Amino acid sequence: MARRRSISPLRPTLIGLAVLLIAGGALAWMRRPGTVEFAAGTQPFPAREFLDNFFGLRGNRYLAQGRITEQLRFGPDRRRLFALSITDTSLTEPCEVGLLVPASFGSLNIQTGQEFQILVEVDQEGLLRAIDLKKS
Amino acid sequence: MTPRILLPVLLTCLPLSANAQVFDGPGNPPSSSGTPSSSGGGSAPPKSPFGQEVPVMNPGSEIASWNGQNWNISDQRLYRARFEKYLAAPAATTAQDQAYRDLMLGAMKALSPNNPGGPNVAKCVTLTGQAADHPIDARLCDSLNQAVYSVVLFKKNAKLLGEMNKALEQKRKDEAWNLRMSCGPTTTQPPSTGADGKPAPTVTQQVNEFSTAGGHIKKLVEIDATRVANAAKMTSAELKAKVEFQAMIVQLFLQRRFEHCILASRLYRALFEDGDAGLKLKEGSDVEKLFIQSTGVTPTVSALDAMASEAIRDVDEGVQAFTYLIERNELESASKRLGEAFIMGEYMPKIRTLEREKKAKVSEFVREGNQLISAIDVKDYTLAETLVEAMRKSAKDFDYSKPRAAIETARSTSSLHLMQARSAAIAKDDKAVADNIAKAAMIWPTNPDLKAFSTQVASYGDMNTRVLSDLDTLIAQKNYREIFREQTKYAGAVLGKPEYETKLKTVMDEVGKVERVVMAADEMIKVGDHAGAWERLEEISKTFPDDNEINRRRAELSRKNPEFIHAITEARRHEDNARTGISLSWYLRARRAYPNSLMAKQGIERLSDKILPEK
Repeated sequence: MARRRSISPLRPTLIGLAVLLIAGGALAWMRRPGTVEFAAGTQPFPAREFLDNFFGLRGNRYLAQGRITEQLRFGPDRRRLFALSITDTSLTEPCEVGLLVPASFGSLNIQTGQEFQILVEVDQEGLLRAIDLKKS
Repeated sequence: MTPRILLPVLLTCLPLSANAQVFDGPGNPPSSSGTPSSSGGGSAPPKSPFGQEVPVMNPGSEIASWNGQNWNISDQRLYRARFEKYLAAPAATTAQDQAYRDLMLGAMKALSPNNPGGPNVAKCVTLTGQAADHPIDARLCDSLNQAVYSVVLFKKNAKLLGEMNKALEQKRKDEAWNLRMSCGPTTTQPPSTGADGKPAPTVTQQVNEFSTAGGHIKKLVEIDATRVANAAKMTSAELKAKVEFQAMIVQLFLQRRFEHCILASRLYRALFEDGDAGLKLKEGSDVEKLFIQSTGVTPTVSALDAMASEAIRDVDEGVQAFTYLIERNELESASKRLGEAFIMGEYMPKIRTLEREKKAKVSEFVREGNQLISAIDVKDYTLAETLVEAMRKSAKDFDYSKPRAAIETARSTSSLHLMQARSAAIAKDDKAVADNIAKAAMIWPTNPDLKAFSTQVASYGDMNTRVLSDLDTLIAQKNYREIFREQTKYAGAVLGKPEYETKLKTVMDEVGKVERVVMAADEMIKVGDHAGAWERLEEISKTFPDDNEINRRRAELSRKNPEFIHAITEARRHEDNARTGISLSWYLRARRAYPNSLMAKQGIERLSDKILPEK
C-alpha cells in the first residue's frame, strides 16, 4: 500500500471560513445601496382585503406602493399623518388609507404628490404605520 | 173724575179686598193676586189720594192704581180666568134663572113709589126670601132680609123705649105733685108766730118734711135720668141701625150686586121714613173723599141707587156693543167691550143671559189672547208669534203691533247676543261666550238658535278636546309629519291655549327644518347632486328617523350613489367601534367618491384629531 499524505485538521475550517467571507462579501456587494431591492420579500399591501376585512392583517407588514395625497396632521412629537393613495390592481380605483409616519422619519421630506414605497404595519385599529419609507 | 171711572176701580178692587169701605179706608194692602203690570207703567205717587188710598183706573191704559201699585185690568190672571169661565158657561136662561130674575124684578116693583098702596116692604121681603134660595143669589137676599129684620127689631125696641118714656113722664108728674104736697109750711114758708097764733113747727117736724121732699126730688132726678138715657138709647139705636143698613148698601154696591143695592136702597127709604138718606161716612175717610171729590156732594143712599142703575145701564150697553162688533168680526173690540161689561156687571141679567154661541165667537180669541200674554210673560216668543198670526187671521181688528214689537225686540236682542257669543267662541273667550249665552237665554229662553248654538258649542268643546288629545298622542309618537299635514285643524284647536300653542309651534318649527332640508335635497337632486342630497337627508334623519318623506328620498338616492353611501356607512360602522384607522380609510374613500362630502370631511377631521391630536 501507498503512503497517504497527512492532512492538517485546520484546513477544512479555514476553507469554510473563506467561503463564508467570500459569500458575505458578495452579498454585501449585492445589497449595496442602489443595488438591493427595498423590503424585498415583503408582501404587497392587500388593499382589497384590507378594506373588506382588515382583522387578518393586523400586526402584519406589507409593502405599500403609493402616492401621498394629503398631509392630514403634523403632531407636536413630529409624527405625521398622511393620506396615502395605494394602487391595487384588484381595485378599480386607488385605495386611500391613513398612514402614520413616526418621528424617526421626521427629517424625511414627505410632500403631497410624492410616490413612496413604504413598509407598513397594520395596527390593531386598521391604521398603517410606516416602518420604512423609500421614495420611488 | 166721574163716578163712571171710579166704578170699575171699586169693582176691580173687590176681588182683592172684601173689606167694607163705608167707615174707613182700605185698612190692608192689596192682596197678592194683583200683578203689577209693566205695560201700564207706574207713575210717581200723586198728591191726591186717588191711586193711593183710593183706587182709580185710567181707562186709556186700562191700568188700575191703588196704594202706589198698578194693575193692568185685563192682565189679571184672576180676571182672565173668571172671564174665560164665563165665556165657556152656558147662558143663564133656564126656568130657574128666569124665576130668579122675575123674583128680583117683582121685589123692586113692590118697593116702587108707584106700587098701589105705596112701597110694600113685606111683599118685597117675601119675594127676596124666595130669591135667596137660588144659587146665583149667594144668599144676599137673605142678608138683606136680615138687615130689614134688624131694623124692625130696632123699631120695636124704640117703640118700647118710647112707651117707657111716656110712663116715666107720667110718673114724673106724679112725683112732682107728691113733692109739692110733701113740702109743708115749714118747708115752703118761714116759721111764724103771727096773728093766726099757730105755734111754730118744731125742728123735728121741719126735718121730717125736708126728708120726704128729698125723697121725691131724688125720684124725679132718677126719672129724668132714665128718660134721657132712654132717649139716648133710641137715638143711638136708630143711628146704629141706619149705619148698619147703609154699610150693607155700600157693600152690595162694591160687590157689583147692583140689583141688590137698588133693593137695599129702596128698603132703606121705606124703613127709615125720616127722609135722612145721607150716608153716615166717617169724616175724613177715603170713601168720603171718594164721593165728595168725585161727585162734589155729600153721598146719599139715593146716589148709590142712581149709580147702581147707571151701572146696569152701562152693562146693557156694553153687551149691545159686543153683539154689534161680533157681527162685524171685530173680535178684539168685541172681547174688550164684553170684558168691560163683565167686570162691571158680572151678575147682571144681560151678562148672564148672553147667548153661548155669541160668546163662543170670542172665546177662542180671548183664550189665545190670554195665552199670548202668558207666552210673553214667560218669554216664549216662538209661541207668541204663532198666536199673533192666528189672532190676526181670526180678528180683523186685532192690534198686533204691540206683541209683534215685543217679539221682534226680544228676537233681535237675543240674536245679537248670540252673534257676540259666536265671535267670542271664535276668539276662544269662554267667559264672553258664557255671558252672552246667559243674556240671550234671559231675553228669549226658547230661542231655537240658542239651543242650536249651545249644542254646537258643546259638540265643539268635545271635538276640541279630542283634537287636542290627538295632538298629544302624535307629539308623544314624534309623528310630526302627521301634525304638519293636519296643521290647520290643530291650529284652530290650540287657539287660546298657550301650552298647546307652544307645543304646536315647536312641532311646526321642527317640521319646518325637515321641510327646508327636503326642499334643499330636492333642489340638489334636480342639479344631479344626488350624493349631496343623500347627505342632507341622512343628517336630518337622525332627528326624524320615522319621517316618511326623508326615508323615501333616502331609499331612492341610495340606489344612485352606492359606492359613496357604502363608504360612509362602513366608515361610520368602524368609527362607532373605535376602529379609527380603517374608519379613516373609508372616509377617505367616501371623499374620493364624492369630493364635496361634508360627512367625509368631518369624519376625516374627527379621526385625524383622534389619531394625532394637534395639541
